[in-house]
Amino acid sequence: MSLDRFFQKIETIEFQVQYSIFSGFNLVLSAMAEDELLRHLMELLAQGDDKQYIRDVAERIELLLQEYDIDGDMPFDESVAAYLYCLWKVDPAAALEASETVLDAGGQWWSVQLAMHILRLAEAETA
Amino acid sequence: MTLLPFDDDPRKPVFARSGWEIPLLEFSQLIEQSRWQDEFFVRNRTDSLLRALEGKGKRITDIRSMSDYMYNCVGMIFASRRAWIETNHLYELLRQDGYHKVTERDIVRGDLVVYTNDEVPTHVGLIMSIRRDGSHLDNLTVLSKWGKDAEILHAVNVIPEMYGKPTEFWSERVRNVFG
Repeated sequence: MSLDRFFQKIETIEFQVQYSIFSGFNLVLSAMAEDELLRHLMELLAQGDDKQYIRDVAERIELLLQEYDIDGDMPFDESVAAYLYCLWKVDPAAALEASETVLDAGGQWWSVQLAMHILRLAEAETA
Repeated sequence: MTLLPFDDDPRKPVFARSGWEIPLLEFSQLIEQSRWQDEFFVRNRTDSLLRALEGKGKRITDIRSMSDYMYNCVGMIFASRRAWIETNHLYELLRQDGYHKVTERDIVRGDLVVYTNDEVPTHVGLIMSIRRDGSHLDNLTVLSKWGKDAEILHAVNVIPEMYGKPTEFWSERVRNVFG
């Protein structure tokens, strides 16, 4: 499957509601760990030495965050969280950078929690 | 009597009956921006969820609310719809509020149903009605908030698959002399 096809699937409302119904961050993480679509995306991201796919996903996060406005829209929160999760599992350094971007944008829910989680774990590792 | 303006700051502390302060989300500096979501997206996601359920032959009873305020199933029950409380605090909350487990046979309206998946609590709902003519779980109607999405009145088994199964019932009732 091409990266664009992954983007299409992960940005559907059907994908988002798989995660928007959860009431706990740990439940979201567990569900993402078992998500077949995300597993395949991670396999794709791990391919190649030039990290182009990693950069493409990071850019996609930035693009989706531009859809957010301060009044409380979070149309792609679960999609951004899914991309961030995949980056984290495949390229933690890229995930750290993307986490900063998510926190700077603010206004999201699961993606903000995941970004905080990634940054805290990284801080704990370096401490 | 003067009514005070509605203060919807979700960072205010919430306490259990015991006096225990219920842990709320830690990122208070960010939640300020996230306490409301756009009703349009709540509606869209809920429509999508309900279509998926109907595709499996499951139909909910009613949508009670499409609130754009960020509270969840635990916050609906334990914080009067004022807060988002993570499900991993659920058992401690039940303990601190004096709940005890009851059997399916003993439940009454107002008791709680807890859904678990691989023994992990995923969801909680308030029992609204019970039909005793049959004893299986489909005769229970439950009100619950589905994550960021709508607050829904549904038969106990008409839920998204990710919630798992309704496995536990809890009550804080004090039993009276009539049983």
